[in-house]
Amino acid sequence: MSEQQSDQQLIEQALAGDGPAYGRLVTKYQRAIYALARRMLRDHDLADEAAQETFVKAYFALKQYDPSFRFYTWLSRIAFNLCCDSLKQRKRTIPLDIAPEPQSGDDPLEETEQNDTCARIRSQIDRLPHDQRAVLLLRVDKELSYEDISSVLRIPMGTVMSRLHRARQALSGALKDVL
Amino acid sequence: MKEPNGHACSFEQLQAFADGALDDALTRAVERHLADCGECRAAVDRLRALAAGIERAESPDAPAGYFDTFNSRVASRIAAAKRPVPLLRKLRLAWWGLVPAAAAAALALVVSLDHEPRTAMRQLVRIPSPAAVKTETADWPTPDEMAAGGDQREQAGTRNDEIAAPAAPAMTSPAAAPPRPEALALSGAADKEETAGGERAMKRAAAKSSPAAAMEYDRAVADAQAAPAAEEKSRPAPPADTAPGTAVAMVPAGPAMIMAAKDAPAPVFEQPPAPREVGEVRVIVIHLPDGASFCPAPEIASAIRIGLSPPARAEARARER
Repeated sequence: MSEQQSDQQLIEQALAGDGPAYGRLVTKYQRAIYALARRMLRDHDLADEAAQETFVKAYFALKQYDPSFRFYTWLSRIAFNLCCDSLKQRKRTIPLDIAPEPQSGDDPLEETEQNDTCARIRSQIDRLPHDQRAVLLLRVDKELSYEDISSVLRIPMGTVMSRLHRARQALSGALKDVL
Repeated sequence: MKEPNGHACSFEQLQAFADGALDDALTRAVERHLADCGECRAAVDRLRALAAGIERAESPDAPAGYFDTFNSRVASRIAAAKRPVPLLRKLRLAWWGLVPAAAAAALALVVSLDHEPRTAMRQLVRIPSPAAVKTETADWPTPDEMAAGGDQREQAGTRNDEIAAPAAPAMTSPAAAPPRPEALALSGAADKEETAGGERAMKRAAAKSSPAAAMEYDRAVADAQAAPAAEEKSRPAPPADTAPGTAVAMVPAGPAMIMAAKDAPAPVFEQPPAPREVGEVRVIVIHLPDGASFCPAPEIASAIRIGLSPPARAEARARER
């Protein structure tokens, strides 16, 4: 059974009143949606709020879901829009680095360097124009194809590719010494 | 055929190749080109290194245990969103739904006033007790799953508490909260009102200046009118059939209503129809000769006023001012 068929079945079950079926969909996509929100918002609390709200909104809009799209793409679009709203509403300045996650490694110096590199990459990504940053961050998720990204952002696929290209060129230039 | 970059593959094709986003035919074509072109091979290597770096930097971990409760938190939010709004808020938001019922109730009152214009009339606004309100709960998760999450249960409990006591603050039953002294005094002096004319204005001024002064004034008036007051007292009290959970609204009556009674058309029905929103509705009307109002639910009073004729409505507004 393909992923899409499986999702569709769960959606139909949820629409028919089988609540826990929706719970299975939440469990399936919670990590990916949280990661998307966290990348966009750079803050755990905001990402948590956006991720939860994504599933709540999706639940109440389930009847409007178009099965011609992947369910995950549809969820990502809701999450992306919520993240944009959150950034707008809070007029939040995106911090240039998030607290470094503890890495498993024996060499503290190597760990520090790696964290520095990651922080620098994030910092450069946050300096990109918003449209390029959005495409780049959505592309980090391997589950989202170019076509999916074009659906999420409602832009043509060619625009997705050109924005991605420009974003990567800019990053390549800025991060030449570390990558 | 050469691309703008002077190679057989465009940079975007190389990018799609590095991302694994090309179809089989194009992938094979790019692979053939890469076998001969070191520059494009290097470009693809750079793209892959960049993608790996970005992935490493952009893979934030959630706090430990975060996803253990995620599902139940979402379920709790859905349940909260599905829960009906507290009754009072619903009444306030959907008071338009009460208009037909209130208008009907007003008509019925008008008829009664026509028959017995000086008798204090009492009907009740009966709102279903909280226990009777059918609470819509989320289908997901099941109650057992809900019970598994402590914080969700607590949250839901808070919401239930709100539902449990919806009408108490704004609507009072006669037993729990008797009418304000000035209102009682006014209804006691009902007979005098018609002859006293300008005293009404003085009384209102006194009531506004201080309740104690108003009470004193009313006591003097009541003494002077001992006989009619005694007659009023001797009348049987209206049935106090307020059941637990019954909310009662005091709705102003008075000259405006009496006037409406005179102008009222022939009665269409004697009992108000059941309203669509809140079930059985009766309306308390205290006979207040000068139109003083202590109705705790202005929207209900407004709704009832719609049932009045335009001149009566204008007069009621003027009196309120």
